[in-house]
Amino acid sequence: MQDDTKLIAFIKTDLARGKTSGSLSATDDLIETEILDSLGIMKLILFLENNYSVKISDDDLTPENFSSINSINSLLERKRAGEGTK
Amino acid sequence: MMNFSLTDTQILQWDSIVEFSRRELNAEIRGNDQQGHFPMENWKKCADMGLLSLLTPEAYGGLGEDLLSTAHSIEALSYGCEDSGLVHAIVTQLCCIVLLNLYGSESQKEQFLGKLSTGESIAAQSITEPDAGSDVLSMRTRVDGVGEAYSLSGGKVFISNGPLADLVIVFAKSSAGKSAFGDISCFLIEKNAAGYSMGKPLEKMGLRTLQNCEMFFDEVCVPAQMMLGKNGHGMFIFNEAIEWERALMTAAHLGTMERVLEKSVNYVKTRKQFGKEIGKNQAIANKIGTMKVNLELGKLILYKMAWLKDQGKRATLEASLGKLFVSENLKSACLDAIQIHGGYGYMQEYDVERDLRDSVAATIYSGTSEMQRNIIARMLGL
Repeated sequence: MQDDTKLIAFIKTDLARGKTSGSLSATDDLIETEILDSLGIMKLILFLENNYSVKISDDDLTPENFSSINSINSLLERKRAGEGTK
Repeated sequence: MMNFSLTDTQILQWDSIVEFSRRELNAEIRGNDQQGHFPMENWKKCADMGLLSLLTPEAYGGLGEDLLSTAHSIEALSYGCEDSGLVHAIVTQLCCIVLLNLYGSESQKEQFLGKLSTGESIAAQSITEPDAGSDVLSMRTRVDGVGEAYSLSGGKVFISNGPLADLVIVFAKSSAGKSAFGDISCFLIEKNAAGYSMGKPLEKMGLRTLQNCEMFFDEVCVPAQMMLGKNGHGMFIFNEAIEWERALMTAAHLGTMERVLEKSVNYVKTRKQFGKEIGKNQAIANKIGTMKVNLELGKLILYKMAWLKDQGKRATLEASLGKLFVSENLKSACLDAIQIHGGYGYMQEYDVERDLRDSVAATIYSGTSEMQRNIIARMLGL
């Protein structure tokens, strides 16, 4: 199971700052709430690649993979299990 | 580990491009600038020189160079060639080639890359709209339909190479949302497509040999095989495109900056007032010193940006840092060059005033300086 403490901290303090009323759950929709805007998604990809030793490919760039903290974690687990690990 | 030392091949290429540019590209610029005339004959010479095929893979007839080598070649071109409009047109073509190479299907590459690389076809990227400049997600050009064909309607503005373009890479939205996912897609439209038209070339303050226009899409039917990249991936294609564009434009600006510096140094060494060269005055020498500092720092950020891209890494922050720093300092260098040249600098005969007019747009296109600062701040977590 992926330790998502660092990921949650990044999303809360960097991407979601000023965009939510405070709490952010693992199932909250990051796209609908515009936490992941056009620059936010680039920042998130950079964060994941730099901190989890994965390469996010074009095929990974689907709403399903980035819609919530849970879905990002699932993506990371799949990547680290062997799909496209650096 | 970053290593920006130049290979013997890169040094030879620099010399060869500078020599070619000075010999072949600098006639008639003043007249072309005044008339807003695109020098098609020089475009063809640049194509023959291989400048349009720098980034095209060898499999499609190109030179298959990396971004660092290409940036170096564009610097050389802009240093030797005093027609910044022509250089901008070439950079626009290279950016379109990059997008086709990164996201095109095999048949799209087969169909278009060869002709674009030989200059036989000209390409344009159609993104900006009257109410959607830096705010790309607000674009109103709509695409409807799924499956076999799409229908595209809307309008674009300021499109570089537009009036000459045989192929246009158009970004359009499928809904009114502002999500980075799914709303924007990218299409290839040929100039003879029914429903596609353009306005007349726009009159500009500078870069007057570069051709820009409005584009209109009235229910243009686009076959599914003319979608570039995946459906709904337009925002990611745009983000990648803008990094390449900012790197290549920065290379062009640095070449101009080096030429302006050299011209200014030569002038202050020969112009005498009160019995001495004006370069011996600290007020003048300091301007020259500042130009040199900014030129060298600009090269370092450009080479880092290009190196990152060549490693397959993302360079969002570096692209904004480089674009902001170099475009702003190019404009300052051109203004200082006029001041250094005094009354002569203000005259068209010395060509310095044209460099200044051309440089102003650099702080606007590909994201204004204000937007670059916002991006940098966002990347720092603000």
